[in-house]
Formats: sequence, C-alpha cells, structure tokens
Amino acid sequence: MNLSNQIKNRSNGQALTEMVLVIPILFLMAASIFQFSIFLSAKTYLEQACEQTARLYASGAFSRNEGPGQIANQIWFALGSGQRFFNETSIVVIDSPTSTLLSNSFLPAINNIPPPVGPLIASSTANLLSYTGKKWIINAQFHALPIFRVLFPVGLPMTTQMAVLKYPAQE
Amino acid sequence: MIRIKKTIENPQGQVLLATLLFCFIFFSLFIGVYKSGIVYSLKERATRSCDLTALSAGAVYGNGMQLVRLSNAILMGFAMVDLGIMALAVAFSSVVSLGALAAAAIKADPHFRQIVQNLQRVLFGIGTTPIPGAYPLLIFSESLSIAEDNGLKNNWPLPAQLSWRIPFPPSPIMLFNLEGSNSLLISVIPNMALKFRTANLFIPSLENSVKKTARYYYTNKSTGERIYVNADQAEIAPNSTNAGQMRVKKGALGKESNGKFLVINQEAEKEAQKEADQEFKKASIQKIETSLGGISSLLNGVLLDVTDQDTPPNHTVLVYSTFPTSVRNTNQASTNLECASEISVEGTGLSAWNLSDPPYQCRLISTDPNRIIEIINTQTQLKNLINSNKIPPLSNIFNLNP
Repeated sequence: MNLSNQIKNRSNGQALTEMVLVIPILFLMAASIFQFSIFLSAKTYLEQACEQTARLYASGAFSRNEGPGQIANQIWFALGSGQRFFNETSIVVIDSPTSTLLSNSFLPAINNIPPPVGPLIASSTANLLSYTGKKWIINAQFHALPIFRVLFPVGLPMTTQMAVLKYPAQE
Repeated sequence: MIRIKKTIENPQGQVLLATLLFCFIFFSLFIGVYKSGIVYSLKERATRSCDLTALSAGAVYGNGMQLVRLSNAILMGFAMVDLGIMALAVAFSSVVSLGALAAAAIKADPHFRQIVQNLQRVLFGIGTTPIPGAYPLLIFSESLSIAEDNGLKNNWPLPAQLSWRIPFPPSPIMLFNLEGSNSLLISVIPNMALKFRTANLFIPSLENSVKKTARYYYTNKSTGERIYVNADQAEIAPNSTNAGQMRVKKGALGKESNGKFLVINQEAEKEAQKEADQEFKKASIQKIETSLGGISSLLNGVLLDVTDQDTPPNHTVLVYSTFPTSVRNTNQASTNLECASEISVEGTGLSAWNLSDPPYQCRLISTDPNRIIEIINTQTQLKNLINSNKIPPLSNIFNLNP
C-alpha cells in the first residue's frame, strides 16, 4: 500500500513525458505557419509574374506566337527567384476569347454572313477594330516543404485568371 | 491560497497547460498570418485586374484614335472634292470681279465634307455632351467586359436590357479625360476629348497673357533665401550712389523688407522684353484683323478636321473598381477591395497626314491619391443623383414598361 502510494506521488520524468507529447504538436503548428507564409509568398510571386506577362502581351511583345505555351513560358521566366516554389511543367495555361462585344457579338455575327459579303466585312472590321484580347486561366502546383509532401505529394494547386486587350492586334 | 500552494507543491499537468496556451497563441498567430496573407494576395490580384482593365480601355481608345486619323483622311478627300467642284464653278463662270467669283464658289460648294463631319460627330461624340458618342460607348462597354473577365465587380446592366438603369452605387467607375473636364461628373460620361479644328486657329491667339514674373529680388542675409519682388512693389531709392537703384516700397511686403535694395532679375527682364515684343505683335495683328473686318470670327465658323480638345493633348482613362472577396470583416460581411488605375493614350497626332505614323499607345500612369477621394465623392454624387430620380431608366424614356 505504501509502495503504491509512493509510485503514485512520484513525479520524476512527468514533465519530460508531457513535453514529448506536446512538442510535436507545437512543432507542427510552427511548421504550418512557416509553410503557409511560403505558400502566400509563392502566390504573390505567381500573381506578379502573371501581371508582367499580361502587360507584355498588351504591349505586343509576343505578337507572332502567343499560344498558351508561350504564355506559360513567359510566366515561368517572369517568376524569377520565385521559380524555386514551382515546377516549370506544372504551370498550365488555358486561353479563351474575352467576353468583349468584338469577340462575342461582332465577329460571330460577321462569320454568319455568307461570302462574298461576309469575308469582306470581316477584313474591313479587322482593319478598323484592330484590337484583340485573351482571357487566361493559369494553374500552377506549389512545391510543399519536405515535411508536408506527405500530405500534398503533388503540391498545392494555385489558380488565377486574367484578361487583357491589346492594340494593335498585329505588330 | 491553499489551492495555489497545492499546485506549486504538485506540478502535474502544468507543462500540458502551458503547451495548450502556446497552442492557442500559435493558432491566433496562424489566423493572423492567414488573414493578412490572403488579403495581401487578393490585393495583388485586385491591383492587377484593375491595371489590366485600364490597359484594355487604353487599347480600345488607341484604336479609336487611329479611326479618328482615318476619318480625317476621308474628310480631307471629301474636302478636295468640294474644292474641285468649287474650282470648276469658278472656272466656268462668266463673271470677272473677285467678289462675284467668291460668291459663285460659295454657291457651288456641295458641302460633301459635312457628311463626314456629321458622322464624326456621332461616332466620336464631338460636341454632343452629355450624349456619348458610339465609339466612346464601345470603349466603356469593352472595358466593362474585361473588368468582369478579370473578376472585378460589374453591376452595370447590359445595354440591351429594356429596364436599363444606372446601378447603385456604380462599379466600376471610369473617368474619361479627367484633366480636361469641367467636373468629375462630366468625366463619367464616356468621351474621347476631341473637337473640330476651326480655321481661325491659324491666326495667332490674341488672348495669350504673359505670365507676370517678379522683376527684382533681394537676398535675406540670415537665411540666404531670395525674396522676389514685383515691379509695383518697388520704387527708386532716393540719393543712391547707383543711378536707378531700386528698393522695396514701404509697406509693400512687410516690416522686415522695407527699404531693402533690390537686384534686377535677369530672367524676368528677358520675359519683360518678350512681353513688350508680343504686345507690339498683338497690336499689329489687331490692326490687320480690324482691317480685314473680323476675319477671325468668320473663320471660327469654318470647321476643319477633328483634333485634340486640350493643349497639350490629354487622353486618359481612370478606372476605379471593386474586387469582391470572400474575406469576412468584423461584422461578418464580405470585404471588397477598392483599387484605381489610370492610363494615358499617347501618339503623334490626329491629322490625316499622321495616318501612317505609329499607332497610339497607352501606358499606365501613377494615380494621384487625392483623385481617389474625388472619385469617392463622385460616386456619392452619382448615388444622390440616382436617388433623386433625375435619371430615369431607358424603359421610362421609351415608355416600354411592361
């Protein structure tokens, strides 16, 4: 009875046990804050790279080849030191026409006019309203820290979208 | 007291308690980082969206300027036809006096150029304020589409809707050519800051007032600062060793300046010389004008091609927009991020001979923070205007209410 009481009242190593139990939780919380800060930083890098790319597009810098691949390449290049957060292959760009009157109403209406009037109007419209634009949806995968790769093996997805018009349509 | 004593004697579970406290602190920190991080990231996106919308407005605007050049070239062609017909009329007329020939030419003028000018008026909204032109409306509408594509709030209804009404409060707001507008409310109406050039523009302006410049200055010996003095604040210093020495007139500037000897401001002297020359020219032109019987006012009525409304040209669009987010504020309401971007459309000129010049280009310019306050005021004014029912919906105008 005395022995059992003695064992019950002994607190040797009790603090150590508690520490062992809680330190992983604390560590995980600190790591997740750290990870989240890096994630936000990467997101900001991506947003800025997207803006730079869109402004380059608007200035007519890549008028010859402005497909999704070219846009993705430019975003990758504009990421600069932020490239360490992403894989080049993980940046995927999907482009589509903008919802402007020109691409949504004028051009489809003109395309429905039979030749020879239709193509004639189309060519004069292209000369008179010679602005064009694109809308892009950009998807990228963010590299998680090694400790979080268990949870997110392919990385964390990031998506953003943007649209801009440029003039003149062809340099 | 006894309880505290017991806790000190028996420290079981204290580490766990402290850890829980730390967990709570970490959690609060995480929430803080999360919220501020998300808002920062959204702000970044909102700014980008607003910039791209403004750039898009600039692209359509730039295209419009090229159309103005083209229309001016067409106008020139029509004017040539008019002149040709008038010349033929003069050539085939049997009269010999100069006045009769002029009358024959005026009589034969077919005014073909007016057809183009009327088209320009409707297309570009020249002198039609407050009714916007077709092209400025296109700039506005295309920019709204791009704003929506970029995730910005757009509560302007489609123009096709019969119950078209200015939204409350309108977002995004676009201010066209704010610098040259009389009021902010006017700049809300889409316009391209254009006007018709009149023939009297070729006569030098008589209204140019020469900027009054300080003629003299003295240096404050304690601060080294130069104090500039106008001619009417100076007088000749009596009994001075230097002939013609000037001094500050008593009571003209203040006690400290009374009687200070002045030095001639060389630049102002040159300016005065220029002023005198201009006065002389002005008098000469006035004499010519009088002798020609008010030719300037006559030429004022002769409309030529379309040109910039302001000198120097000012073609700007300011976009003030709202980016809706899902971030909640303390009242659990969604937070909207407001942002403003401004572009300037620049080129070599709008004349017909500029047709082959490089196209107009737009660039982002920094927005004056004071402008934001003005825009918010405009938004309020618009709100009040809508509230007062001074702007009826289109359905009311055309009596199309169901």
